[in-house]
Amino acid sequence: MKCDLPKWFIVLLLLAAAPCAAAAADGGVSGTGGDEYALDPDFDSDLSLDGPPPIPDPLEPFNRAMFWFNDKLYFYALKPVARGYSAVVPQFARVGVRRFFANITTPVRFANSVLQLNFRSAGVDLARFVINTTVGVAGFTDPARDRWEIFPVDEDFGQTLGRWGLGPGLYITWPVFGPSSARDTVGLVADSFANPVNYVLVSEQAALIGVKAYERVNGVSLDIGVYEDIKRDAFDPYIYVRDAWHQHRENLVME
Amino acid sequence: MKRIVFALLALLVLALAAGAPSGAAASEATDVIKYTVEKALAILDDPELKGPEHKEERRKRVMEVIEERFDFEELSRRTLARHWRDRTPEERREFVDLYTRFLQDFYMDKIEDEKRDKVLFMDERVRGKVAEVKTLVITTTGTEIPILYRMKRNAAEWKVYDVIIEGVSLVRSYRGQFNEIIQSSSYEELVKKLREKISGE
Repeated sequence: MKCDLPKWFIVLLLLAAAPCAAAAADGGVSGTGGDEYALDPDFDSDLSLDGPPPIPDPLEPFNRAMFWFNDKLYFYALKPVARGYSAVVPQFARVGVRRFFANITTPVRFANSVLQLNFRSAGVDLARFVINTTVGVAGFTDPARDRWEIFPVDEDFGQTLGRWGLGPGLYITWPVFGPSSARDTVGLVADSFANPVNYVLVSEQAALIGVKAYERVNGVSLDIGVYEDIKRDAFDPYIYVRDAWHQHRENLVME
Repeated sequence: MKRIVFALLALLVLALAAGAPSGAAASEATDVIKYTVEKALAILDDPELKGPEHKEERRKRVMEVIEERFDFEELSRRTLARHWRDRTPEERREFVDLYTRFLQDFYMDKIEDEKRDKVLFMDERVRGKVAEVKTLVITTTGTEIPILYRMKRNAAEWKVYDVIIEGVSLVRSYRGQFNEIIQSSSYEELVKKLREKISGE
């Protein structure tokens, strides 16, 4: 069990009064009651709670309209294009392209790891970048993961703001870009300044949009079925996506 | 002399008592998940059970494995949360049955995914009578999906009461939606919708 100080810091904040000794004995002695909440804040034995509140959604009518728009965009544009593309380009090449884009956006994740004082994450990402850019042939393969078991990290400025104590604010669904929050929208804009793709193509608006669209189509071609599953599993797809997205983001902030 | 031997024995017993529970509990939680997941994957990867024509048989056998480890009543109770208390014993039984069938299809689709390459057992945390086992599903499409199993110790056994996929809790997701349905219409409406979902598969 590794000792991850920032993670413990959050847990300690949540516990507030928990003795340090109990925290140090990771996975150790089963202590006093209430320990369960440290692991699962949703652990509620008497069912008196409804769990953590969902994200505020005062823009729901607008968001539902955008959700509908994105849904149509997916089924009538993205998916057919991605299908055509995947019929021509073999899967290993598409996985390579996905990895290439993940590799060149290392500066975004690295900068945010440092801003969060998460030096372990910064180190991991740097190691991955060095290995995958060289051994991994410009990032098209992932030997860092496959040979050395160094797994990718996921950091962005929205998470950095969250780490600094900022809540998500209100929920917002952007056309094309999809679910976001007030905080993460700021994060998205800030991160674009650290994305090398934006610098290389800074004077070529059309090329930049083309590259972004290509990256998206490539991703969709590998993930066909994911959104369809979400829609099928949901009783109200809009609510499901909103809650799932919120949980996913807050979990990333905590990690 | 006797006293020294006794003191040493007492120390040994104390050391064992202090060390044993955490050690045993620490590997136990991962072990039970590993056992269940690997048993389920073995059935899914069995060449004799491959293909859509064996889907029913395959799923039936995987469900038996899952039912050994999952506490569906606890899952149902936590999902309905405060609405659980308003239900009669018959309604509860019916709900557990319907929700179990719904979840099995849901979970089955996730692990039956042909994009699955392998499952790694990463980490575990144990706090009191709750444990969390983190697994990482490596896909063939260049992604990794973290799946966390949350378990509660019932008597001597660890039973799964929530599954967290990419940070999204199954219980929390459906609690929100079910609550919405119950509050905007009725519990009967929820049961109707569950039945529709199951038969729509």
